[in-house]
Amino acid sequence: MANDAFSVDWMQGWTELQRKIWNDWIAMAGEHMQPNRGFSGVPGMDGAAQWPMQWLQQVMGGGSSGGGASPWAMPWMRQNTQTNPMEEWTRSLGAFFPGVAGPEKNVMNNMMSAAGGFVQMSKEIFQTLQKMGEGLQGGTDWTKGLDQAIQQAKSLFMGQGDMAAVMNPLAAWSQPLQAWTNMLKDNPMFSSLSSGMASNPVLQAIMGGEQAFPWQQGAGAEWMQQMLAIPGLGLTREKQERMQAGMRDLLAYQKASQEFQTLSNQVNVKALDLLHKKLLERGASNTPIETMRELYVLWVDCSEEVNAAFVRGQEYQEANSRMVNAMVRVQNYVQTSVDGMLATFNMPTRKELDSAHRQVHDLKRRVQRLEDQAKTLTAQDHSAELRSIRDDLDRLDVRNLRQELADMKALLESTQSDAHGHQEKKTAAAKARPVTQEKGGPAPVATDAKKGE
Amino acid sequence: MFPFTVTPQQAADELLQFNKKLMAGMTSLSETGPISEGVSSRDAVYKEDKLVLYRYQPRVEKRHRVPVMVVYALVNRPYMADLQEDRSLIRGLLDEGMDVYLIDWGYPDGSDRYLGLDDYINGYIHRCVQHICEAHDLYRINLLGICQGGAFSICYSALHPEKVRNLVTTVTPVDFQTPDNLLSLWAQKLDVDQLVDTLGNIPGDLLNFTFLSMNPYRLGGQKYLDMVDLLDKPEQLKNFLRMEKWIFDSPDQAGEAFRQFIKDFYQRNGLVKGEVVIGGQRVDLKNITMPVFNVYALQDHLVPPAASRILKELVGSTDYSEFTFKGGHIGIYVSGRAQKEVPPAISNWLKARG
Repeated sequence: MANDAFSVDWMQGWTELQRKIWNDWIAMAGEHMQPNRGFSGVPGMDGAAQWPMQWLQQVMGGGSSGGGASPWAMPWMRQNTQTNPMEEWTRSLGAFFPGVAGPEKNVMNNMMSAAGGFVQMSKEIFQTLQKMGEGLQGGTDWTKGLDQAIQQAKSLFMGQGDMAAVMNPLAAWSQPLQAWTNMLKDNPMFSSLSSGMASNPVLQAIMGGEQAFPWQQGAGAEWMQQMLAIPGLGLTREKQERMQAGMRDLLAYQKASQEFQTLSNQVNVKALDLLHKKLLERGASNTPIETMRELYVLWVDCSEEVNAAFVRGQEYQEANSRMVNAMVRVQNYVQTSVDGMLATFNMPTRKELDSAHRQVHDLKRRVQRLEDQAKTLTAQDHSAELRSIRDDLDRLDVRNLRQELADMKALLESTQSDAHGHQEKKTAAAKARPVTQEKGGPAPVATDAKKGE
Repeated sequence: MFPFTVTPQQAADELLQFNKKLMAGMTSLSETGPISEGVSSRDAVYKEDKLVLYRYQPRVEKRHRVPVMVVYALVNRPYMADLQEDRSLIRGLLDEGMDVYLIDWGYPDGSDRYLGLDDYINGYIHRCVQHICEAHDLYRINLLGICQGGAFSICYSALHPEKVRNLVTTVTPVDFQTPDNLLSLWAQKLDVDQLVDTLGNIPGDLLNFTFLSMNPYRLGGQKYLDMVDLLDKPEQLKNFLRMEKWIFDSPDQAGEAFRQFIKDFYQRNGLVKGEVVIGGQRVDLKNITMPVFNVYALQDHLVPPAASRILKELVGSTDYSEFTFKGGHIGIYVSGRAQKEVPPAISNWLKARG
């Protein structure tokens, strides 16, 4: 019964529907791209505004649908369309959108990219459902049709990079490599890897751009490794060795990145398996998908679920680390080489700059320590210590001690003296006492005593 | 039954509506205006190198006697704690009468690549604490650490316990090797020495990418598709853009600090083992004898709850409390429910301890 409903709904009135949709779309595009509105009226937007019309003409002009699709196929269902209209549209909007900069611009780009992915996915789903609908009309069991569709989608992830990107609405697993290569984008070795158009002929020869050369795999790769292990000779032997090491690093990176990409593709394949399972479950539980968006979200959920398990695995962690570490080694080699070149021109090198930064940093730390010490010293409260010392001195009763000392000296003098009488000695001592008291300190006593001596 | 009931007409209409929203939203997007970095009024009270210490202006008449200094992570920018009027931890604390200071680390450049954890913790944090102590004629203040800033606050409290009256940690990793810590799994085999020796500072974009890789399909695609639904809702769109700005406003990481943090904390799990050495001194969590308030989120995918909870077993404090929030690593600061729960919980706990 469900099959019947599906077939009837899906097969009727496609031509009329197509016309209606494009009329609406044109009206919408016209409304938003009028010269006096919003983001239009800027150089380049005229062309962008016209493209839905051109596209429509292309579609309605009787151009045959690609891939053997039915004449009523939606434009985005035509695999062999020369340009992807959604892509063109989003690119136009992104490129010519005025007054949007900074985070908004990035957000817009991300949004347009996601929107493009969504529409692209819808296109693929439409095509798949169309085929299934045709099969259902012929009495085929829908579960078999679904199974075939999933298998076909999975095959796109097996070694066909471009199609994998098309099928994956988010192309999420192109991100790891992309992020790292962006980080190292100024590195000529990586640019050569990504573009396949190495400016460096040696690298070009080794990497071979997009073309797989014998020395990149199997016995050829082994041979290349052996070649690179041959010791350098003569005046330039050190340079030869460094270059050989760099080449080995580059090969190691290439191998690691291929392994990583292969592993990552498994996520998409397994996500499709999970999607298949969940669709069967929904069929069994009579809870069908009712919107394209719902299907998209289910696919994302499946991808996230598989990805979560995958990235926690030992295999992923090792592959990821190998790739990242290999890439950084290549970067390190290139930096060292560039430094060597700069040094020959008597120009400042990265190493020298780093060294200067370190020295400045160390000096700042030393100055900071000294400032801290100085601050601590000046901040210390010495008044308490001074008070304590004064107290000690007071307790010692210095004046009395001095007096006693003077008395003892006087006594000593008196006992040693035989020229004067006992009374005269006492008078001398009595004379000395008021003088000491008036000066109030030990020095005068000592002076007097000396004088007395 | 066949698991797909959408008709071609419905599907086509859905896509058409989607594209209409997309086109109309372009204008909204261009009219959003600049995105702010924090909303609460504040004054710069201390500057050193690229660091700025801010003091937030009070929002109530009577302020708590002991100020609280917020120590944010080096990753991303601290205005996440003050994102918008109705989503601000800072504002919540101010409304509760707290006297709030915040360290803004700035954007390190090449000249900062040799800044290590000693510079950050015994240097910058310590001098900020000293500054606040002098300004308030206090000998010690309250510390509130956020994420990595929480780990820094823990280290500081262990190294300078006499300067910290109360310690509050929020979504702070302590055990860096719990099995559910994905970041830690990824970090274990990273040759961080080679990475830092080669790159110097670690690009912020690289960290962003790492965080996004944890949910690449949802964060790289679905999020933006959902955003199309917000394009005709200016306020919600602005909120989305604020968060988007914060997510991608990522300073580079000072190379040496990054190296030490990855090796000592992630790869060696040194905080738990008591093996972290900063400025020649071992970070012994038993030295943390002041009251501790540990706030963590139950759905935190960056700092799993178990990574935070272990703090209870490691500190020397006899006054240890926890607060759990039903949300994620960011939601604990910016969700609507968090505003009602987190700032009052922190403030009440601090007020109860003088």
